[in-house]
Amino acid sequence: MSWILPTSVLLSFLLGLLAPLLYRGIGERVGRALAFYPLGLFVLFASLAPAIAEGEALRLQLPWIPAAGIHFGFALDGLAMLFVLLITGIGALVFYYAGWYLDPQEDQGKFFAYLTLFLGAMLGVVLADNLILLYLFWEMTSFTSFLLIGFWSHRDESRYGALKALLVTAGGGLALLAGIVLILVAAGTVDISALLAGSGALRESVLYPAILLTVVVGAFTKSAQVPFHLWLPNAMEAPTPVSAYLHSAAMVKAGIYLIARMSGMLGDTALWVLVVSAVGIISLVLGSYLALRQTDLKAILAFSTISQLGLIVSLFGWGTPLAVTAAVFHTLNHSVFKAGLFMMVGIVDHETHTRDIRRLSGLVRYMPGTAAVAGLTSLALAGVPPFNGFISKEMFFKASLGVDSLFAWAPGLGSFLSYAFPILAVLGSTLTFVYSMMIFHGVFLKKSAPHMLDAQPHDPPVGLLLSPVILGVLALLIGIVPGLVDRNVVAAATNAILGSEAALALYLWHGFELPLVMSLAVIGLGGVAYVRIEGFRRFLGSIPSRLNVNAAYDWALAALPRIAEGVTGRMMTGFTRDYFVYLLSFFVVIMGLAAWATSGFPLTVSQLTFDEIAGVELLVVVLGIAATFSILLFRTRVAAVIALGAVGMSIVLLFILFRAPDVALTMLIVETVAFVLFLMVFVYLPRLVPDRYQAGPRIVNTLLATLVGGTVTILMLGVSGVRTHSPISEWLSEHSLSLAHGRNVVNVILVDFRALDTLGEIAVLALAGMGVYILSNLRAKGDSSK
Amino acid sequence: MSSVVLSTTARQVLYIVLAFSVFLLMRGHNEPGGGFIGGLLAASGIVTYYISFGLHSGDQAFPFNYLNVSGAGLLLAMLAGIGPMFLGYPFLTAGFQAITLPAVGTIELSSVLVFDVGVYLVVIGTVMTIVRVLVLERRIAESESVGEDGAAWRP
Repeated sequence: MSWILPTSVLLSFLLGLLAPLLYRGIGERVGRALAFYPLGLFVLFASLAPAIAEGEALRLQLPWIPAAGIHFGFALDGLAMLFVLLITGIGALVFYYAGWYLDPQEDQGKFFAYLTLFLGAMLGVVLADNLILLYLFWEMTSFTSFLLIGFWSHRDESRYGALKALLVTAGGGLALLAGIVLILVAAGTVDISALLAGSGALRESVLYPAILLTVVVGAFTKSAQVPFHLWLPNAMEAPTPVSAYLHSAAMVKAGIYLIARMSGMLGDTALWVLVVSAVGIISLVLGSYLALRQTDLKAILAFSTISQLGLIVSLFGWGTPLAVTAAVFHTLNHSVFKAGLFMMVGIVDHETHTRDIRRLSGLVRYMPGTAAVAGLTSLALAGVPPFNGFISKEMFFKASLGVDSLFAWAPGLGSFLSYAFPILAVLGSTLTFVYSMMIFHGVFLKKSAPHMLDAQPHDPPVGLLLSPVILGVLALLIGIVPGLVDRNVVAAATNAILGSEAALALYLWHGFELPLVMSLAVIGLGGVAYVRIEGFRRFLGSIPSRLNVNAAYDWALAALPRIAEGVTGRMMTGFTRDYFVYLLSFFVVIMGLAAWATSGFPLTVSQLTFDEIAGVELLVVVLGIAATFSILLFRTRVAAVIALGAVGMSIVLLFILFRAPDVALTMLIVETVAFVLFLMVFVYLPRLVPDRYQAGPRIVNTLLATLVGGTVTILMLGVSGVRTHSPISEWLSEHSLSLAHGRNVVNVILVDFRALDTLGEIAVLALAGMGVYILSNLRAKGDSSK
Repeated sequence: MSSVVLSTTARQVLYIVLAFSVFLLMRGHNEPGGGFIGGLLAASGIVTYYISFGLHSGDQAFPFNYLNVSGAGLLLAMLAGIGPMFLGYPFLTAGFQAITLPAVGTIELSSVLVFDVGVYLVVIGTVMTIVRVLVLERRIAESESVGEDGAAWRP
């Protein structure tokens, strides 16, 4: 059966590419038709769930880059099963809903192509058994999310939101990639099952803090946790079915999946508990606080998602069996009620053409079906019994009470947090209760303001209402009969995370304990705050929000090109002499650093004997040096160039004296051609005015020239002194005839031994010629800017 | 730049230089020479011809697009590399075949000669492209710069 793992992923990609063709064939029924694909996958995988829950994981490994330990490895265990069921189950409902929701004039082929590709990428993330493969699918979800947020690409807000989501999540993806590379370094493998089996290695590695931080940054950006939450509200520019799917049920849950997966390898350490639970609880409180300040229904839900995911993340941070069970259960519950809430908001938007809660009220009279959905889902969000959200939230309260045992390494901090965590948990949940009431009571039940809508709204067609109704009923059903999902889904996933049969059973009634008191306190406090909602919102509005990550993002986005332009403008002066200063300074610095880092090399001059030097060789060298210095003295360019030619010719003479006719011949012709080329450009060069340089640059130039000359001289002396291997030239001379059938070693090196280098060089040469030609043509057309 | 001596000898010099460049190219494997030197020498011969007779006559004598010459050379060098792959050898493997010709004797043919011809053509093409571009640029500059801060242009 394991073949279905890669097949389901690849089939989704194939279907995604075919969706535009399908749209051309059957028109706007494409969404409803495609919904049967995730539905089929859901049924297929659900039929496997009981076996998986028994601990029988499916695995499949195909070789890909075996040398680097990268495989097409796929695995389906209890944790992957939970997410596969969410992706396919909610996916089927979203596809069906979107088929009704989208305007017939929209390019539905493109829309469902993106959505199906996203489905495949998401399945890939949760099914991959190799971290590199996971990363590949991870970035694919970022990319398809970018396309879906920007689907209405004619709107500025859509493009802004899409770019922001891509920059933040793909940036986090790069952090994740760095973490994966560090894992490979520390553990020698990126296979998830191997890493989970030998999990101690990573926690004991010196790289552990770096691995942990890079991996959780990847997860936090994807799950929109503080301070990386900034992209999610802007992602609400996407069509509502996309928001329901990507930004509540699926893509943001990829970060949750990663944290759940990694908790088996990296969890249970002081650093993990502190970082993950603190970020989670801060996201919970801040997200629900910011949700209360919104007036757009979708914005409320966006911040609500940040806050609810924060709740799940903090549970994974604590990592006790109770906390993990609650986290898994809440992941499932949140997907169900939040997708339903988004679909409900989509219907309200569709029917009333507004999402502003200040204009919406008393809709229950016109849209009773939609109101029922809103009631079921928002009461689940608020954590009211007997809905599913109540059970998982109560488990969350219970888990928050026992945290001091997790901070045995810092008892003071532990006892502080054992108060702080429960108080923050109640605070965040109370705010959640208030905005849930704003959504349900404020929009649907309250009968205050006179009708502020242009036309009388009414319930949508049954097709549009079907998906959210299913989700709403499910939220209630799971709450009353949690046994529906207990054994085969929640317990299976929890055991897969913990690596033991430690999952706790789910009950609606936990007995009369402190968590129940906390739940009642949430409902009581929230109820009071909601009754006094006007004053409460005024109070919240008066809290200054100093820490504004959005402003930082916008500033950075604007500053980056400005800084780049400034740097480039300063560096690229257009003067060759400046470029030479950069190049040569870099050379001196890099050589100096290398010498310092390797603590230098012995400079032995004893092997240098001067009596072997013939008189004529000495004469040529002296002539060359004299010619070099004479360049500085000439006042006209022609004379300086001729002197430079004399330097070249003295080197040619040296080559002849040392019996290197090839090199000498080449150098001779190069000197000649270079002189001809110089004559060609001569006319453009400004008059040579030695006095125009001021003392400062002249001193710098002199110093640099001396340093470069000195570096090269010392390097040459050092190289001849520290030879440890026999020079390769000996080997080449020996084998030139026997291997390459050539007696001219120089040419054999060029065209045979190092022919690949030569191929590269002539390619560069040809490109340089082409570049000169193109630049000149641009100039001739007057296109050149500088 | 019209000089009687130069224009009289340039044609003869060109023939000799081109013949010598081919000679250098062919014998490069065993004696001093090779595609790079041969190509540079041929290019300097062609430049001499251009200097003697001017751009127009030069283009008439050598009716090539020099960029295409570079491209052909690069293609040839690539083919010399890819060819062996069809026979199952790694990229750029050299092959040798000794053949005996009447009156000439035994000579050894090598596939690296194909590669070397590629180098030869790339060098000629690139040098000539740059030289022609510079000459054309100078023409444009001369036609534009007259009277416009002429002092700046004078060497």
